[in-house]
Amino acid sequence: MTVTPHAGRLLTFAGVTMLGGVLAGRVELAAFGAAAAAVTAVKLARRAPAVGVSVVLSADPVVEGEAVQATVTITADGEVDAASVRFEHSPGLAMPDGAGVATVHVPAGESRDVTVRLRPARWGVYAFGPVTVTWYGRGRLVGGLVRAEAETLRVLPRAEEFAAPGAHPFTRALAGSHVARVSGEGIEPNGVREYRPGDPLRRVNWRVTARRGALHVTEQRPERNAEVVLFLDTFVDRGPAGATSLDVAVRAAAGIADHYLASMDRVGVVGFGGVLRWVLAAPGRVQRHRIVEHLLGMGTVLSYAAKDVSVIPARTLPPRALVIALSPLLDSRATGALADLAKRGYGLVVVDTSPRPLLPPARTWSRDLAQRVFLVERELLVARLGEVGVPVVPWEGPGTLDRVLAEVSRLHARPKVGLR
Amino acid sequence: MRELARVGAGLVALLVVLRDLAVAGYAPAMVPASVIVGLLVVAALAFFRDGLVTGSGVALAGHYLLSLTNGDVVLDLAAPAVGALVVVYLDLADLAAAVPKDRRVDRAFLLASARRTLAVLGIGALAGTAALALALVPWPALEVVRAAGALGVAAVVAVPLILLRRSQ
Repeated sequence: MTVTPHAGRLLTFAGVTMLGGVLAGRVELAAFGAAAAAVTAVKLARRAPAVGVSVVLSADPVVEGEAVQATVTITADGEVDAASVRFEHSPGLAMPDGAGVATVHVPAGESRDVTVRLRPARWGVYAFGPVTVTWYGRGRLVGGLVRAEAETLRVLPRAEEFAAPGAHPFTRALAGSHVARVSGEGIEPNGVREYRPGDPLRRVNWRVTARRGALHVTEQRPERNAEVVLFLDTFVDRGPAGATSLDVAVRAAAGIADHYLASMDRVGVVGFGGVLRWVLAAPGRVQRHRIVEHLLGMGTVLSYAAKDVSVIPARTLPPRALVIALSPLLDSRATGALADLAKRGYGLVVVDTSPRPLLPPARTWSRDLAQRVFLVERELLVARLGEVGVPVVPWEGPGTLDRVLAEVSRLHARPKVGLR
Repeated sequence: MRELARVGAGLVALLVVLRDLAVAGYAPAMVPASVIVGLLVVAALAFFRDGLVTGSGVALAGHYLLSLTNGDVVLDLAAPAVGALVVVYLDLADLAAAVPKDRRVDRAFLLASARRTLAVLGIGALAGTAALALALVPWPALEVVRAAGALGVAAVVAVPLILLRRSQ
């Protein structure tokens, strides 16, 4: 708490006018001084307030597109003549009602709430605050500054709708919801064959047996789970705000993770860019939260370091895992790593997350030429990835991966011929 | 709110200057004085410099004194009201300086500020009247009155300052 200039101003005025009145012999000026002195005395008689401030967010975390309300509560044991609330916040956290300062009056022993609506531009972690309250008490003769620390607001990515009802190329020998290609214990029928010694009797298909006159059994396919690794290229982030390649990748990753985790699969995430970040593959609801929290921290970090798949810890990419790469295919380090993964035998699908349209309209012939060269090079890159067995599909929501997953299944089901 | 307080302070200063001019009967000496006071008030309300605000308040008091001299007024009974108006001017100018540019005007704050301004006007007028009444009492010796006045000035400045320092 400090004495404000207003106190000095009133006292100076009182002193000067009284002194002037005495020296000039004008009693009227003494009345001026008396007025200022009396006002100062009355203001001083009031209690100096002890002011506190707190910030509460209406929700945390929220999903992209949802608005949040921040409530700044100012409490004071004495009357606060003016309390000006100044908000600071992370860029990208918009205030639909308009940013700026709100000034309120707080009666003695009461509290006042100042509410502001916040609208985050996209997924991520934001800070609302610190909130600074400049207050004046005792008729603005004293004042002070109180601060409330910043509150963290986590904005979860809006998971894109995704479904891939087709067969999964790789399954693991654990119960799940994907029907395996091989026969075994399960629910899904896989044909009828003649009885062999050792077949359980409950598998005997009595209708076929009666018709054919020999024992026949129904074959079944077991339900297995799968391992999926979401490989996010975080080297570059291009596109309009709110719909950048990384935005698309993160939303798509959230949708894909939701889908596979709901199918009892194990899902992991690798963020491959300037900084390498990962979540090991695991099943369950907790893993969903883990992945979403991890996705919140995804961002591009400028790096000129040459990186390849050797920097990725082996346990983050389990063998027979389906790797779904989400990349705008704009950084050669990422595309090189994807080609390496395919050569190492991973089932790999690339989802192109580049913005639509990828390039702005060309205004000059030279720019048009450059764009055409760029597009030809890009087509060549996609063709080269196709040659090493990596299908590239643009992100189109549900059904994006159906066709390519079937292709990957076929590719990996082929008998492999090699020399020892 | 800031603009409201600024306009209010300007209007109060204008009222004081116009009243002074009316008292002085629009004497030629008042014109340059009024221009200087007007410039000081505008500068104070535009820049919110502490010295300018205090100086403009003192200038308003000086302008008033000049008007009394030019108008050959023996005793101005409206002095408490004019004094209270100058104090209100100082209060409103401070309010305008203290409050940042608002995002929105809080109704309760607006009402409380209006109430406080009226209270300042009332207290100022009452205190001025009391001081004037006290000054009009026929004292036995003029030197004693002047000495008491000087002591009063010292007390008016020193006591609140001491109180403020102790309350921090």
